Formats: sequence, C-alpha cells, structure tokens
Amino acid sequence: MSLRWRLIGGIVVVLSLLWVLASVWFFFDVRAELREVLDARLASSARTVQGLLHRQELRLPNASAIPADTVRPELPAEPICQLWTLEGQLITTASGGPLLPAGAIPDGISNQMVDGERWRVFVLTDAANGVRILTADRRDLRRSLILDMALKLAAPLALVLPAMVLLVWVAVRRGLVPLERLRRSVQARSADALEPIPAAGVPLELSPMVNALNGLFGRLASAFERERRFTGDAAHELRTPLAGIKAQLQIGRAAEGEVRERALAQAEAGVDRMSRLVTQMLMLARLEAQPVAAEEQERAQVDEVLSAVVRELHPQAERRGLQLSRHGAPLKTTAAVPPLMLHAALRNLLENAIRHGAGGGRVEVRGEQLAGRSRIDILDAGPGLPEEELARVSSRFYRATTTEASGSGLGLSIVAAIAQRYGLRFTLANRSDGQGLVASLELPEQPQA
Amino acid sequence: MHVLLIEDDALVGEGIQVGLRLQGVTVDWVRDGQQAAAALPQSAHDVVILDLALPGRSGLELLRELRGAGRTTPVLILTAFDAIEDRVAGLDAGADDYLPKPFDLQELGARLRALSRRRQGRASSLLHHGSLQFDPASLEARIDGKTVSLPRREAVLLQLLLENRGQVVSLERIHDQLYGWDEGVESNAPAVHVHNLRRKLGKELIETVRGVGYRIAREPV
Repeated sequence: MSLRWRLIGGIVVVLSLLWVLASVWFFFDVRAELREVLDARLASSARTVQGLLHRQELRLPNASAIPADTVRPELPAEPICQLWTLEGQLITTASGGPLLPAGAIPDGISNQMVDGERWRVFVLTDAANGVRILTADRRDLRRSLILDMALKLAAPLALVLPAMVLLVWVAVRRGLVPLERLRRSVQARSADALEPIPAAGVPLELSPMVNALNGLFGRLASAFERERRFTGDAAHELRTPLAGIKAQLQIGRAAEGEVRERALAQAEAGVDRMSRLVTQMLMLARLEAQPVAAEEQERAQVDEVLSAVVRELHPQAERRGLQLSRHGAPLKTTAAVPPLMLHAALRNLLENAIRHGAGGGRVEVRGEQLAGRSRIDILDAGPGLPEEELARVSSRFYRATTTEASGSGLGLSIVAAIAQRYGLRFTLANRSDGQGLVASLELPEQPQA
Repeated sequence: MHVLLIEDDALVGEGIQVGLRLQGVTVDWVRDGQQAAAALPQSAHDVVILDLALPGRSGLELLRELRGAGRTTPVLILTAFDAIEDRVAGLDAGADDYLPKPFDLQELGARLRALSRRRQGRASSLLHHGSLQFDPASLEARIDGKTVSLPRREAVLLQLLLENRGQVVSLERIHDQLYGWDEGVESNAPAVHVHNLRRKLGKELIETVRGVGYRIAREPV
C-alpha cells in the first residue's frame, strides 16, 4: 500500500477517532449540564409560584374539581405547572396538559410516565399554604433537544472530513517531497552512473537510506571496475595467442616443407595454450560469481587430493628433467573445501613450481599436520622472485619478469581466489634454505568465519 | 628491409620472424624490456615493431625514451590493447602506426613497407633505376618490362642498394639486413649475391667500393 495513503489514512483515522471521542464526551457532559439547567428551571418555577402564594399575590380558587373540559388534552411545548392540594386534588393547572397525579409523586425531581408520555417532574410541598406545586416538562422534548445538539456536534465532522482528508493529503505530499526528489534523482540515473548521492540537504530520516545506497553504489562501482579490468586483461591474454596462431597459420599457407610443418605445429600448440587459458578464466569467473552458500557442505580428503595431483603432474616434471618428490607423513585430516577446488589450487601451485624449476632441479611436496589444520608446502629450485614482485604475483594475468610466457598468468590468481573463498591461508615466499620459492597452503579442519 | 621486433610472446614472435622473412624482411627479435632498452640506442633498423605489454619495462616508456633521445626510427605498435585511448596514447607517445592483435601478416608487411617508404621520402612503392624496376612488396625485378627471377636474399640485397641509391652501403649493414643478428654467415656471401645480381641485371648496375661496400651506379643519362 502506498506510503502516502498509509500516512493519510492513519492520520485521518486517528483524527476522526479523536473527534468522535471528544464529541461523545462533550455530548454526555452537555447532556448532564442541560438536564441540570432544565431541572433547575423546573425547580425555580415552582419556587416562584410558592413565593407568589406567600405574598398572597396569587389567590387560589376553591379546591373543587376542575371541570374536565378545561383541561386541554394536547401536549404543551412549554413546561407545565399544576397546583394540587395536600390530599391530591387538583387546584389549577397553569398551562394545560395532562394531569399528573401529584399524590403519587414524591417531592423533588423524578421521572414519571403518564398516559404513555414521559415527564420530568418537580414537586414542591408548601405545607403552610396547603398546596403541592408541580412543574414538569416533557422528556421527549428534552430528548429532541439533546439529539439536535448531538447532530450539531456530528455534522461538522461529516463536512470537515473530506476537507481534512484533502488537507492532510496536501500536507503529507509536501512532507514527502524530499523522498520524491530522492526517488526521481535515483531513477534518472543511467546504468553506469554510480557516483554517490550528495548527502547535503537530505532529511535526517533519509540519511541512513542514502548512506546505504551510496555504499551499494560504491560496491557496484568497484565490482564493475574489477570486471572492466579483468575484461581488458582477458582480452589481451586471449588476443595474444590468437595473433600467434593466425601468424603461424598464414606462414603455413605460404611456406612449404619443414617451415610449414613447424608453423602448423606451433599453431596447434597455440590453440592448446588458449584452451588452457579459457578453462582457467572460466574457473576464476565461476569462483567469483558463485554465492558462498552453494557447496559449503563438501569436504576434501586432503591426502587423497594431494597424492592425486602429484601423480598427475609426474610426467610433466619428468619431461622438464625435474625430480618431483613427496615428503612428510600422510595427512589424516579433511578440510572444509570442495575436493575439486582443492585439486585446482594444488595443481596450479605444483604446475607453477614445475614451470619455474630450473632443469635438473628438484620440486618437493611436503605435508605437515598441525593442530587443527594441515599444511602443504611446495618447494622449487628455480630462480625465486624479487621481494616486491611477491606481493603482486597473484594478481590476475601478472607474469613475473623471470617467467616465460607459456603460463596463463592466472594460476596463482586462482589459488588466491580459492584460498580467500574457503578461508585457506596461502603464502608465497623465497626459500630460506637456498634458491627458489616455497608456496604454502594451510587448510583448517573447521571452516573459518 | 631490416626490422627490430620487441615482443615477449614466443608464438607471436616466431610467427612474425618467420612470416616476415617470407616477405623478404629480416627480423631481429628481442624478448623483453631490458634487452630492448639495450638494443634500441644503436639500432640501424628500418622500422621497430613494438609490443606494449612487456615484462620488465613498459613499451610506451621505451618509446618515449627513444623519441626523447631524438631518434626518428619509425615505430609500429603491435598489441592486443586496441581501445581508442590506448591507440591515441601510443601514437601521441611517438609511434608512427598501430596494429592490433590478431593481425594479418600481409597487412603487417604492407604497413612496414609504407613506413619505410615514408622514411626514405619516396612517393612510389616501386623502386626505379633506368630500365630496372623493383617492387619491394613482391620482391620482383623487371628490366624493360621483363621479369627477372631473383632468390629472396638477392632481392633483398637489391632492394637495400636501390633504397640507398647515391650512397655506399657498408658490408656490415648488408650483413645485418640480409641475415639479422642471429645468423652467422660466411663473410663472402654478399659478394656471391652481388655477382649473381650483376649477371642477371647488368655489370654496370652495382659498383664495388673496396674495403667498404657496394653501391648502385649512377643512372645512365
């Protein structure tokens, strides 16, 4: 439901409710007041008559039965006044109206029903003059008076209600103008306009939302920047082997014999290299795109995976004249990493070591069991890396100055991404016991936060 | 034509070296920024082909240094970064041409020839001398309209001499142009090529300058 109408509805309902409550209270209050006033009027009329009697300005006719036809049957609108003897005989009635049997009515104020008509009655007994003075007015007249008043209280509400809704609507609309302004400015942005919303002039209540939006824009902007850079680097990395393949194929077409054969072989090697690169790129993209929840349950048997990787890369090491050996006791633990991911990380590290190892050198794979985690070190006897390059070497497509260009440049980025994703600790350092690099991967048994 | 290639990728580099050789262009190939920085100051190449993404030194940096030192050798940038900003940056840094990867070998050859032509101040791509006409693109020589078949090395030597008409071309330069830095060769090989050229195109065409080199004889009136 629209915010505006929620506000308007709420305000109108509350105001109406308050009005109604106030009116009701007022009504009862005034009704009581009215009753008091009218009753007082009855009483004072009776006392006036009594006073007149005392001063003998009024003379009573004999207390004989009043002939019936002098009693007017129609109901008067005015209060009536009747004089009765102490014995219950009517002396006179001032304004006509039905006879109220004074004998049955006690002194003071009371409600009486006579001939189906309700009366509010005041009786005053004047023993000195031997009369009972009775004043009364019709209760249904009182009632219509009160109803009249109630209507006068309620009617404005009915008239004012639409006006109130309109005014509240105007007020709310004006009040929500900053929100509307914010909405319009955000809506007007194009897909790549990710500059922060200016915080100046934003009402207090909207500040948290503006901050949250700016935070989101910031995160989106860096994600886009990362993607742009990746796309730029990837384009370069894909185009270079393509250029090589194309050139070699053109040579193949133009040349003959040995030159041609070599060109075609080179073109094929180029294709292989590219497809390795594409595989790596896809894996990296998958790693970064996937929501973290996906494979949290999978665990890897560390030793199994490590042995498999070493086995797989033995031929490659041999071809380069390297000795690949495994040291340390088997690792008994599992780690909170999907086996495929651990395999990819270890394979990339080991391939890296093999690629760097100078011909005839050794590549050692060491496993160590520590408290709550296992640790794998891969050591090569290659040229190592200068200190300032160590930090940058796992950024994407980075190729160290000492590498030949056959690597994809993505291997270490993938290892870094896997380590970050699954809470593994990945370090790369120059060996302290000689020349070469040691790449270490620590695998906690329990998933880290 | 004698060209210096600065490119780190093995596949592309070899492709260019072999591919251009088929077009009669001799390519000296350095693979990283350090080697390039060492080679550039002394280079007597006709054109430099420069890849921007080099390990060690930025290609643009090398280019700026070259231009800063006052060298006017034509430079063609060959790179995978082909966004407009990259092209503009490269050209403004002093490059003469820009070719994105992947590229066509024929196109590369043609652009190199264009740069060389401009460098020599020649309007036409054909080289004339009297009744001799030589086309560097096809490495074809014609005398009075008749095609004379020349093996590649001889054609390249002829091109070198014709392009430097009026000057003596030293033996060293002939060696570099024909064989590049990598190939060792017997020292009398150029003499053999000259001998064959004289045989096919006329004895008066090429003059020997003893102890120095060769040159094209003055054009007959």
